[in-house]
Amino acid sequence: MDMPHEAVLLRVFTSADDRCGVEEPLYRAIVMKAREMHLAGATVLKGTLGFGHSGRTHKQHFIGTDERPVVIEICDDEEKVNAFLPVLDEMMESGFVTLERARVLQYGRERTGYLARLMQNLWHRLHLRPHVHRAQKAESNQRS
Amino acid sequence: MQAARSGVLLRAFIGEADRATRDILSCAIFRAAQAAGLAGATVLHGPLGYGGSRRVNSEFIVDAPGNLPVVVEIIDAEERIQAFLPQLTQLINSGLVTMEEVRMFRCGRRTLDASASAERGP
Repeated sequence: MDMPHEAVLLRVFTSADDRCGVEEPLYRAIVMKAREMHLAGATVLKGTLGFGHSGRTHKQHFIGTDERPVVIEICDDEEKVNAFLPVLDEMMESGFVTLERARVLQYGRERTGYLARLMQNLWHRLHLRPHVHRAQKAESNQRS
Repeated sequence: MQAARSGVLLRAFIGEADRATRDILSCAIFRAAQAAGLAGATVLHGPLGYGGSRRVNSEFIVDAPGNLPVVVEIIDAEERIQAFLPQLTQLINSGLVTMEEVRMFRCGRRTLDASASAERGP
C-alpha cells in the first residue's frame, strides 16, 4: 500500500464501554472497518482518566462500567479519511473527533525475521564478522 | 456529523511520579482543566520514555520503579487554551508542553440533536 507524503491524522475519542451493535467494542469495530476500507493503519490507545462534553469524569469504577477513554488514531490520505468519516458517523452514537495535518516520513519497512536476528546476535557475540542486512548493503552501494 | 471547527490540542508530557504540591500532577492538571470548563481532557500512560534528564524510564525495570511517562491531552478553542496556560505553567515544574492546531467536531448518530443544545463546546 502506498502512503502519501502529506496525510491527515484522524483521532476518535470514545469510551472503553462504548459498543457497536450488541456486544462488539466500538474501538474494535472502528479498527476493523478501517482495515476493511484499506486505510493505511489504525492504533488504539487506552487512557486512564478523561472528561468530555458532559464535564463528568470518566474512569474505571469499582463496580459496574469501565468508562476509561479510548483514543483511536488513523492516518491516511485526506480523501480516504474523508470517505471514512460518514461510515464512522454511522457506527458511533456520539463521540469527539479531531483531524490534523501530518507529514509521513516512513510507512512500512522490510522487517528482519527472528532467525536473521538470532544469527546477527550470534555473530556479534562471537566477535565475528557482523552480519550486514540486505537493505543496508544496497544503501551503502548507492552511496558509493 | 457537525461542521469542523478549528481548535488546539495541548499535550503535556509529564511523569507518573511528578507531584503538584500534594496531588499527583496528572490528576491535578486534569482537575484544573475540568474546573476551568474546557472541552475535554484525556490522560494516557506510556510504558517507556525519556525526557530532559535523559534517564530511560521503563516498566520492564522491576527493581527500580522509575518515572513512567504520562501524557495529558487537552483540546479546546485556542483562546480558551491560552487562558488555561498560566494555570498549567504554575502546576508543571519540569515537563514538555506542546500545542498543535486541529480541526475538531462531534461525530455520531446522536450528535444532531445534542449539538443544538450544546453550548459548552465539543
